[in-house]
Amino acid sequence: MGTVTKTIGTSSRDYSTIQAWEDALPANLVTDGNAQVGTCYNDSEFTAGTLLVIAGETVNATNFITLKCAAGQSFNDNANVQTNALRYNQTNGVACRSTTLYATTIDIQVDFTVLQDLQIGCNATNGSGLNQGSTSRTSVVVDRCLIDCKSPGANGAPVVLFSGGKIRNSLVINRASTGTGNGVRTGYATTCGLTNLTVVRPSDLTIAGAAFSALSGGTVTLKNCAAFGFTNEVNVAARFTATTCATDVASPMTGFTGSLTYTSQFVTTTDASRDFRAKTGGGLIDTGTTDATNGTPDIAKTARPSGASYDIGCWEYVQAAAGFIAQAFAPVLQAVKRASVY
Amino acid sequence: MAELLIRVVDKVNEDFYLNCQCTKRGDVVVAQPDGWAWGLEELKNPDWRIVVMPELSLGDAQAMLAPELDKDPKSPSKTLQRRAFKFDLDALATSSPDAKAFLADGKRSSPIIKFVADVKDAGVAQVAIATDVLRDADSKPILDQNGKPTPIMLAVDQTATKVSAADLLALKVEKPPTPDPGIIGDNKLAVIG
Repeated sequence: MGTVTKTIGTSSRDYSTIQAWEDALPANLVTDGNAQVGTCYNDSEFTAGTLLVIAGETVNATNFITLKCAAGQSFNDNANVQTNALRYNQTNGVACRSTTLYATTIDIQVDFTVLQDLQIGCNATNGSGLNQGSTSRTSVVVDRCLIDCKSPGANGAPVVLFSGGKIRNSLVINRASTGTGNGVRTGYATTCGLTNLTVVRPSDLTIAGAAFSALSGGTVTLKNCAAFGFTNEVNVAARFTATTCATDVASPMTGFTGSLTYTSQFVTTTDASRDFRAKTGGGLIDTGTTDATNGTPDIAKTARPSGASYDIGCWEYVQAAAGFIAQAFAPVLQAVKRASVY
Repeated sequence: MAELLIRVVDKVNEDFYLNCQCTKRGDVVVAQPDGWAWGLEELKNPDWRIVVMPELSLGDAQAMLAPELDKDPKSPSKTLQRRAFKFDLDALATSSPDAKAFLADGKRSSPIIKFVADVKDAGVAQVAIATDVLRDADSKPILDQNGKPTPIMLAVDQTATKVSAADLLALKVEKPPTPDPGIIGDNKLAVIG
């Protein structure tokens, strides 16, 4: 048993497209006896109609599929990660995007699949960033991803359609100018753990939809999640359990703190200049619950907590340990923290 | 205008339903624009071939990537295939001796074939392909000034064969639906249909 790692990119890598890497995987990873890892390089933006479908492989908890960035290639490896605007930007790191109507950027039909540190975009009408389809999964994991979709929801399509597993420390941006699109929608009878997510619609777009939308029969656990810019934080409260979450919605379900001022929580909340790093003095800072298994590190690979407690949302605001070092030194502090964690 | 990575050997999963989602002989895995920098494994994998076809529009090429769609979304099929269309490679081999030899060459001694419409463009041409990257004594890639591995470029013969885009598109076949063995009567309906 081992791990087979292949490189993906357009500069003399093993594969020039992510889809070709997937197609070359053994049909049965269990009998093959290896876990398969695709490591992406930021040689150029990955674009296609539907960028990637992962389907048809037999996997288990040992022999599974991982798609991530090669060392130093993710937006959260960027030297300026603490000061870069937190939004889809291929110059910051590996980025992949669908370009076709109704297309999904990444379609995961195989359980146990892991996505890490990717920027996932879509800017075609009714496209979705990430889709797990309708079949219930148990163990798909999405870690530290930035999912930023221009027009996911003219007919109610979500940015992320998830059917079981965990999404952690990720940013989900629904940039539909019209329609009722959601942020994260979970499928029928699925069990999902959503931890430290920031799910937003930019503040200058029409308020609509629900940040989290669950179909019936499932169990969705929200912890330390931020939901801003939507009509509702969740579609049906009975389908969710929430712990230390935050929203701008007035009178949200139990487990959410409501009526927070949107523009006070993030650096820039308008669409064109959007930047969803947590803002100094915001209500998300130090108000989350400790979760050493799922909550740390944050989307920028900052170890949590920085300060008294975990922050709500994907971004951990870097605070001076002794209380007297200004935020201007945050990049230095970040470098120290990263060196200690990795 | 397009370059196609085509599967020539079925990918097979012993699970019936998962097998439907695997690409099969004649399926286009990816379609890219002219001049695409193919990866090292893409040039070597014996289950694939690369066809360069300047005359074929990228739109026509990418249409080959469409999956089979549910005819009744309210009753989702479990046997939808990864690709709705394929190229009939056996017919292609029959129509062109060069293509036949290319498709049969599992060693991929010539990793790419170029299809041209005009016979005067046919023949052998040399193209540069990357075969590996420069490595140091520890087998680590030597990076260029942009921090990227330095490719080892090799000029190889690329067969150019007279097959027009119309010829190729004439070999585009819509796959029949796969009957679901879990549904009584599904197979019978497919046979009748």
